[in-house]
Amino acid sequence: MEENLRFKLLSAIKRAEEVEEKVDIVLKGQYLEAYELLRDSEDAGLTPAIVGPPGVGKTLLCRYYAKRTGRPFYWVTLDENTKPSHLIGAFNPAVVLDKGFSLEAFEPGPLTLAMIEGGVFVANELNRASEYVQNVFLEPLEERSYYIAHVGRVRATDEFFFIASMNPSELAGVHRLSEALRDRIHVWIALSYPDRDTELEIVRMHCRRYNLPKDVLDKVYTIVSRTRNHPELEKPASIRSTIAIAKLVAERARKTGNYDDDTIAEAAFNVLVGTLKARPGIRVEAVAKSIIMEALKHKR
Amino acid sequence: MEIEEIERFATEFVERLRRAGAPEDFKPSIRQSIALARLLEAMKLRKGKLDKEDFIRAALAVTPPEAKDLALDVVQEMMGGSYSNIFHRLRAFPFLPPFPLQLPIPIGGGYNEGLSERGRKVFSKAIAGNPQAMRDFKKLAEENPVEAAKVFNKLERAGIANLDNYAGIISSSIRSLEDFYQVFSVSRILPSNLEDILNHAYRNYPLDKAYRLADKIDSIANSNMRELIIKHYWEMGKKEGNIPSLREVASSPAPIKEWRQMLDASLRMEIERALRSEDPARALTELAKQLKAYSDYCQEEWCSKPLRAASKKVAKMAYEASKREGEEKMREIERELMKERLEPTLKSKISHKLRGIKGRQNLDKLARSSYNDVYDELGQGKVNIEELLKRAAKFNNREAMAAMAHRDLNATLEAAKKLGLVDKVLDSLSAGPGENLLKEWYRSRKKIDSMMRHIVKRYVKEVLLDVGRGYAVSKFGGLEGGPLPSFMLKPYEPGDDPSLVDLEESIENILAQGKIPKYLRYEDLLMREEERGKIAIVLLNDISGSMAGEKLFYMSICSLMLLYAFRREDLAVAFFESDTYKVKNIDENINIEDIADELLDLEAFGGTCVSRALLWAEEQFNKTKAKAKALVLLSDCAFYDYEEALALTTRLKRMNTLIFVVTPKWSYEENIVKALRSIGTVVVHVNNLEELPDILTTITNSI
Repeated sequence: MEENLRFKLLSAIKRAEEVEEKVDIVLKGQYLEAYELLRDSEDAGLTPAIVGPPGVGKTLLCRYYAKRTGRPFYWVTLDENTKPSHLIGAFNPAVVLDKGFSLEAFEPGPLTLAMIEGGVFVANELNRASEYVQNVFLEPLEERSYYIAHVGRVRATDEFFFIASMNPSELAGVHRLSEALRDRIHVWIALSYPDRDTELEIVRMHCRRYNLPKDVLDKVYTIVSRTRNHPELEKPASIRSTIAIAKLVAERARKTGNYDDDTIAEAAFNVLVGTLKARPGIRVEAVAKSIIMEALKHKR
Repeated sequence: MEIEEIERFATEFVERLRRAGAPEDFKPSIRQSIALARLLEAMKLRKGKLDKEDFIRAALAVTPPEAKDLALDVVQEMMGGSYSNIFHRLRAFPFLPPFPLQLPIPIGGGYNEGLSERGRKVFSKAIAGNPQAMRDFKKLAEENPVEAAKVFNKLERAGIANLDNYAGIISSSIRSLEDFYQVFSVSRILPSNLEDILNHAYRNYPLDKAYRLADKIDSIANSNMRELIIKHYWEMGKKEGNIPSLREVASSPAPIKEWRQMLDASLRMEIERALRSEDPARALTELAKQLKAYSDYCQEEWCSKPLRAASKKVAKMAYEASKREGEEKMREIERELMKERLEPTLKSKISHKLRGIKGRQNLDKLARSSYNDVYDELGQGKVNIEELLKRAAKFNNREAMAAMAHRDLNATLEAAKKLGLVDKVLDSLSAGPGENLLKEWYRSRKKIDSMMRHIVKRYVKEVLLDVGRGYAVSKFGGLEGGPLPSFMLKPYEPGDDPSLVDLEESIENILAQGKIPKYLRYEDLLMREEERGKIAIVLLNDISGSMAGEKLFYMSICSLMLLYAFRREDLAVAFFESDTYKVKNIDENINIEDIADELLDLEAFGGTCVSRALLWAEEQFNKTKAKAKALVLLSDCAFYDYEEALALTTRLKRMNTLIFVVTPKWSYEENIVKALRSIGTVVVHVNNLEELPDILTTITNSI
């Protein structure tokens, strides 16, 4: 690899590590309850699953949990194309041909690493994995070990902690959890959109440098919250959308010095058309527009 | 709190949950009791003590989301007091569907697809419980009852309760026969003011047009609209002196006295008109020929008999009128009428009788003839079935008996019963081309009495299986191999499962390239593709009213052929009209013979709503791991929900599904087929049975 490119890659890895180190979370309300349940589950030797819509902070909570307990954090987002080797690891065929099936030729995957390093492993979107892949988790969950051909049985350290995360709306048309795996998940933690105050606190935390006025944040929240029980929407706006709208409004206002409704409406529209998913046959632009107009009219 | 108390709570909670009737997918087990006890102990160790809320929190936490509601009820009952506010968030997701999402059949998806902009607005208001919804719906129904019916259908599918008011509004908004047909196709709602509809029809349509519309309604609603139309036109016609023309009446028959009366009245009018014309003999001859043609067209005796009698009466009048115009004219008219078998004189009747005697002598010859000769002769004109059968049995000619049964199954069986020859006739059914027997089965199975029908069906089923297998074999030459190879080799890519690397093939590949390990690349290794799921096929059979008769016959053979050809693949089968009837899920094992059984009993009935069937197909594809997916739609494409169908077909295309639409060449909805073709659907028209294997060629070549 060219020296310059190698340097850039190393810098990027370093930056990623720094980001992973820094975990901002508002640990109150449902997040505090969920955190405590994670802790109690681990103490009781039970396997938890966090179930909730996209963008409510499932992965963030797990990352925070790993950080607070001082352990490495591994996570894999599963889908139909995920294969067992993506989790367990694989033999490098070139090295195998040169040196045989030696330990040197084995490149461990994130699940194996979490098991041997005593890390927190999150199987994101577990219910989107095929049953073939779901079966990989059975032995680690039941016996805290896994048999790797040519290597032998790997036993997890006591610190290894497995968390599943799922999105209930994703259940349409994807694999359901196999009976065997379902039976090995003992605690089901539901995360939904947080209450108003918690969500606004999260937004403020992400927009610290802007110092947004309270009434602007209120309007942004009103718009977003209206997407969450709208009959024409299949996927509403997440907390990420609230943060994105708030940041966009703040950036625009920094240039114009103006926090008027048009600025909020424009920012909200630009974010929502990309994140909302309307029910079949409905134009997302029309729904987004009507929600924004109604919300701002109501707030005026 | 003591450990014993925690354990007692945990076991009692699970015990009560079990008794409370947990959802089907969730079975409260001892594992849950253990998990609950362990969680409570961990909470106690952390907090030092446990309060009521902790018990509830823990009980809900160890219960999967789909049973959290039930768990809350159970634990509240155990602890006393209401905690629903505190734990609302824990037990439910405020906007998401129940967990896990159930996909029943018919599937409720689609929501407002296929609605106009206005329909969508009304739908949205109704579903959101907006108080203005009813008013808007009423307005919409007044202006466009069909669109209102579509909205109603969507609301019903979305599971909205108490739709009686909406149904009532639609019911009273139907004003015309067209609206009646379309509204019923969409929503199965009947009109409340039939009298208005009949009046509207009388004022706006000629009798034959109204009759055709009523016929369409009867075919899907199993109603008697044709008879009501005839009665109304007769009553009103009498009152207003406006009797429909003979052509209209003759082409709109009904087995009621009003039709006979109207026929007589219109006939009288036609005769008077003919007599007033410049050449009465010619005009009457033409009228007699016309009536004979109507009589031949009618298959039912109650309809053909009066028309035949009328044609003979008019023929006689024509002959009498021609006499007055001289010898030459008389001969000319007589010749013409004789040609049409309308013998106007005694002499001509005698010549007819003589032809009959000659015919009887010919019966002996016919009874000894081959299948094709008998089949063709029976198709030409009337032959005395009983006599012919008696003779054919005497000569033990199975082919002749088969030809008779294949031409007119009911009449042959009736004659066989009278003559005690049922066994012989049944035994002969397998002689001759099986397709003819199948065609006849679909034409006359309803007329055969139930006992006999059951026995005959066994023979017909054998024929159907044979024919289907035959066409499949004609394409593939055998049924063991299946249409696609079961697995293949491909170069290894990083991330592939190394356990699937085929070492022997890889080493051979490396040696063939003369490489040493140092220069090996990933792609030099060869791996096997997963063997399972070669191809997934979903077969959707249209059984709506428009598919009656010959189309159903073609569809059955085509289905059987496809079932045999793809029986080793992931295969799902469903029938659809307004509803969808699943026959075989993709992951289910079912005998092909059972499907043949279903096919032989199918009734073409109802409107055509394909979107639910397409949603079901999508669900089937989601269940399979097969890489190639193909949807085969056997239909004439007369869909009322074509907008929705197009949207869903496009969605399936995006899932890399190959879509094949097989339509009968002589009758299909051109515009819809054109639209389907424009989105990349492969359309195959079938004109005759010989073309059926081409469908297999098209499918296998495309995969």
